[in-house]
Amino acid sequence: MKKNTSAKMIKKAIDSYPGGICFSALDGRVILVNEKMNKLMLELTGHTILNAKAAWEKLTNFANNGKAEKLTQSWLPKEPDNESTRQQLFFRFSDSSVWRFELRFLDSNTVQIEAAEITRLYRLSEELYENTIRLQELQKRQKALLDSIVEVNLNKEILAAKMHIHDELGHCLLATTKAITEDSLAENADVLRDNWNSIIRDFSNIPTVWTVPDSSLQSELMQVAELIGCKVIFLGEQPTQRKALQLLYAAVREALTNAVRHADATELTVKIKQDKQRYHIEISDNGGVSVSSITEGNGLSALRQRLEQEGATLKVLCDNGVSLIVDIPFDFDEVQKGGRK
Amino acid sequence: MIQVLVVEDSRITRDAIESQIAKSERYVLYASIENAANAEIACLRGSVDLILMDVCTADEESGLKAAAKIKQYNPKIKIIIMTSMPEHSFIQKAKTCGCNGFWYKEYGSTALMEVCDRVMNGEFVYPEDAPVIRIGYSNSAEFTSREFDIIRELAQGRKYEEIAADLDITPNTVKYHIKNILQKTGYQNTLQLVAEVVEKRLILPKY
Repeated sequence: MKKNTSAKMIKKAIDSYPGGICFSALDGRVILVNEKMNKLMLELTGHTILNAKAAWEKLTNFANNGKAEKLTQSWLPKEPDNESTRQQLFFRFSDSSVWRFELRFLDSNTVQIEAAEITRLYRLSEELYENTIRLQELQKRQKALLDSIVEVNLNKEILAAKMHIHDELGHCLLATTKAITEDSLAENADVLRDNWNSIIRDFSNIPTVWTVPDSSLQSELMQVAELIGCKVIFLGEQPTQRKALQLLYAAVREALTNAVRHADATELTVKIKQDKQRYHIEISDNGGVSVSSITEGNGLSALRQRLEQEGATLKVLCDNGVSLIVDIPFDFDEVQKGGRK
Repeated sequence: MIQVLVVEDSRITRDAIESQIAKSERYVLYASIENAANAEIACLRGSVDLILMDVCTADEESGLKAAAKIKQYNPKIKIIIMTSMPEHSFIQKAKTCGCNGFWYKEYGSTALMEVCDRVMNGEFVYPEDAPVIRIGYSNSAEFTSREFDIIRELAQGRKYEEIAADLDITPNTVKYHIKNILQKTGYQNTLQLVAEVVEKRLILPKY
């Protein structure tokens, strides 16, 4: 009698539980199920739970039936515990409520299926997902902005310079027109001539001084080297990738600076070889200083740091003169994914 | 004659500066280059007296970093930093490098050649402050130096904990500063703030 009363009380208790719940044996034989679970299953599968294992299989292979829809979005609010003892399925019912069904192995003999209403949580997760996407877009735009800011500024500078020349030209034209219409050309001839000469000078090149004709990485460095009396000789094929070229020229600059400053060199030789994975570069000079070892100063340390950040390496060889050995990988992206600091 | 090295990657600006030097009777152009990383090499044989150095040069090389290296080995070479960027830290960085002058291309009323003359006469010629830029409801002059530190860190994509570690303060202090900055500017979040600050070039982390 006491046992019966207790069983009734348990049934009454779980029927008052707002979610659905079902306990079964491993083979699916139902031990205890509440009314809510039966009601939900009726709507989903067309009948109450007869065998929990078969019912879960039906839920797993559920095809939308007009009364409910199975949800599969990646951002669904799953429980953080992803052990293999748990499985979760999500359904939206015709009244727009969203339910999470969770199967758990409680012990070696008992399985629990629990259904919980998560309509609000679902809506918040959806909102969070949309906000995350929006945030990612903003971050992308911010990065693009950072990357292009210098270019934007250069264009602005060019525009400002064009406007300046335009202003000066306009001013001269106006002054000349005024002098002609007011018949005072003779009186103002000297001033006008000076103004026009100044504008023509602004437009023309200055042939008496040396200027760098283009912006390529190599040409400016070669010309600056020539300017200070040190010839740079490249042997072998140079990298085609701009990033690799930038690293190569950073190393050449450092070697050139040290060769001229410390060894009074007049020639710098850059030998470039390549295998399947990387460029192997050796930079040496004809300077008159012989050293057995060197202490790395700021320049070499900074170069080493920059190269290593990009997955390249630097070795300094002291054998009569000083040589720099640089290895630059072909594929920066792979190196950076694997081990960029 | 004073030998001038021009480091400027905008061709038209460079031409304009070269033209002014050509007109002058005191200065002569030694060389004109686009990439600040080549400036140190150009100074190695000791023929340069004055460098007119842009900050953001070709291949994203920083004129300020180049100036610091040149001053280390050639303290007698005078350097004038030129920029059109209102970045608030450039003036202080130029002073720390030991540069002799600073000239805004688009702000202020002092002509470049006047700055050159004063620098060559031994003066240190600097503008009083960076140009004031409007940021939301506030302006750049209303930010404290600590707030600028925080904005700079945010612009580099750092998280609150990383900012706290970098600046040697607690994450709560970082949050407190960010709250103040957002209150001043009226922005709802730090992304809006950073986008505005970078777009107006008040912060340029690379240089």
